[in-house]
Amino acid sequence: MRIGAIFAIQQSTLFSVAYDNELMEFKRLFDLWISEIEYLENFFEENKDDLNSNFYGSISIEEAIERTRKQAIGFRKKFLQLIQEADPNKLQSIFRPLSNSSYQLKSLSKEKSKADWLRIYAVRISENTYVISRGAIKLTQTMNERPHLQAELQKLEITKRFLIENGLTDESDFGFFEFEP
Amino acid sequence: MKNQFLIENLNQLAQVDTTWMDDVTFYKNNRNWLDRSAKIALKILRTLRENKNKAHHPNSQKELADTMGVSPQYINKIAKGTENLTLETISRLENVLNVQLIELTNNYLITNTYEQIEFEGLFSFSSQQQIIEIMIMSQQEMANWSNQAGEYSYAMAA
Repeated sequence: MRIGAIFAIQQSTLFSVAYDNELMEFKRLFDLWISEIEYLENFFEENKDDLNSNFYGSISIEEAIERTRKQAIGFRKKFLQLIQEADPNKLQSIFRPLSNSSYQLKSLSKEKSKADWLRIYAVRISENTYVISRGAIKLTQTMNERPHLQAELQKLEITKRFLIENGLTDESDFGFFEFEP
Repeated sequence: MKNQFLIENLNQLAQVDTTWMDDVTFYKNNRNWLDRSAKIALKILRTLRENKNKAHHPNSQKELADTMGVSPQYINKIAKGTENLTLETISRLENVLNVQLIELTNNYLITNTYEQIEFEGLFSFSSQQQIIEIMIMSQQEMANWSNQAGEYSYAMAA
């Protein structure tokens, strides 16, 4: 998988990559989460053990899909508000560093057990500039537990390489970030 | 600004895409039927999966399409949950899958006692199933009924 194109959600502040011949990730993710019921039904069916783990409590697939759509719709609306406010400083308030704790196991008591499982991953290249690499439904505590989440880490690396090829020199503000509601 | 060169480079390379903003507006303007379409799609998919587990028919989108005499592509569009379905299609799906996809609550009738009497006078129904049957009346029947029942036609079509 390679980056086929890059799109500006808002020039100079928020970009999104597109892989191969796919849609730009930012749009593709919301399409999947809001308008692809078949995808969601398959995803939660395949991951129903995670869904029924103690992490989120026991949730039916129907309820999980409803929550996902609701969360994604709110998520997208939040981005629109931020873009329309045209205040680049606001953007950094919604992304948080993807720290080691996202990869490593945390005790249940430290992890919020809420069903806000949507994640958008991005690379920060400057204080107020982010490049979205991918996103995921994160049903487990850490990213290393499931292949589809490990793939997100690889996408972040692919995006980093793309940015280096295009002139990334200063890594003092650089980092992997995630956006969660 | 750090990485100024890279950011300018990205500004030049990147195509500005605002189609996702159109999606927000579209959802806002069509929310009611989109949410219902998603729920119907989910019910269809869950029923097909259940049928598959029990070896019942139809148990795939292909079988459903064949039974209904429509293309698999059309069923696939319905399964995405963004199709603006007609009452006729919904009824056919309900019959083939033997499930109820839409349901009218009694709230309308309970909270509009006066209208309920008139409504019952017109159609003399006693169960939700009969309400659904009224909903799939032909356009001409609906027009006639609408003339008699005034604003109730909106409530039924909603």
